[in-house]
Amino acid sequence: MSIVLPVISLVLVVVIQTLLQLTSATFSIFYHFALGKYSIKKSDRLALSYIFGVELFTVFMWLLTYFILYAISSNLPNLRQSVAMWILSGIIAALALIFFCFYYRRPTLNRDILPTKVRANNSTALFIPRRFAANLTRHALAIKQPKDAFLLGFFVGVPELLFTLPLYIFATLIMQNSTFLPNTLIIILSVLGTVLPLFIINFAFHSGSNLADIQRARAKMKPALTFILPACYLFLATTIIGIGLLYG
Amino acid sequence: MDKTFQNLEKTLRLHARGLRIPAGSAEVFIAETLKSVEASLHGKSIITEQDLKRLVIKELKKYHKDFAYVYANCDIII
Repeated sequence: MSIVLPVISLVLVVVIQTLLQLTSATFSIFYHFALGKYSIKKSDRLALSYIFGVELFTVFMWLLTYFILYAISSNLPNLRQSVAMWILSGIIAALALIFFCFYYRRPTLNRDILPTKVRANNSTALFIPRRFAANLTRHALAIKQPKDAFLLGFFVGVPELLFTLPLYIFATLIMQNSTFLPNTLIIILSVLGTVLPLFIINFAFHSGSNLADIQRARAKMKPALTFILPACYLFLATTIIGIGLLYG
Repeated sequence: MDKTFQNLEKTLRLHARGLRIPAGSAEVFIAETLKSVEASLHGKSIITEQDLKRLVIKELKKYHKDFAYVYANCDIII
């Protein structure tokens, strides 16, 4: 029992990281622009740099969280593990609600001016401010060298930290207290989970799909994701309560 | 206005190449679209960005559905 709950919760963390949309949305538009400007070979080189940036950011966040929590726990030896778990559980449950309400932006009047038949039925615009989204699109368009793509990939995950940081903290707490799972395996699975959608999108582009097909698929997936991801967050909060009770 | 059309043409070319529309067809689609849009806007004193976008989408839809779709949805992907 003490092994099952942490494993389930870590699987949920990886699933949530896989289903979050910001990196994949930016990747799809960036790859579309790259195909518009460069050869397939150069576009792929840029795409690999972007994916490497995303991977490195994930690893960086794991290590940062790990060392910060390690420093906190060594300075505050009386901090009870169960208290941290209860607080995290509350935060993650609140994130489920925030995700449901705000992750996907509601269509505004301004957007409805355009003909609805060519607009995605469900706008996939995300929670980030519109000016920031426009900046991301502009940067995706302006990429010329692999280092630009790498930097875009590295920093694109920053706005999504609102939804991912509690997951990193929780998973790190589990990692610091578990002996049954190697920490490197958890980090590798998390990185693979984060980049899996990017490889799928890249594969879709290579097998003849274009940005329109990918965007239509994202718009179709949106209603399901609006329920699946908050459900994952809620389920995770419940498992954390279970783990907190076990530790308590 | 000329600069707006030049930028529009550049953006449309980029999208067309990204969608892998054959170069010849893309040139025809873009030229026809811009010609129709220019004719529609003729004599109008005030034109908003949304008006321009709506007209471009309407014209592009006649030639290539995916092209129109990408141009219409480009700002709501992220």
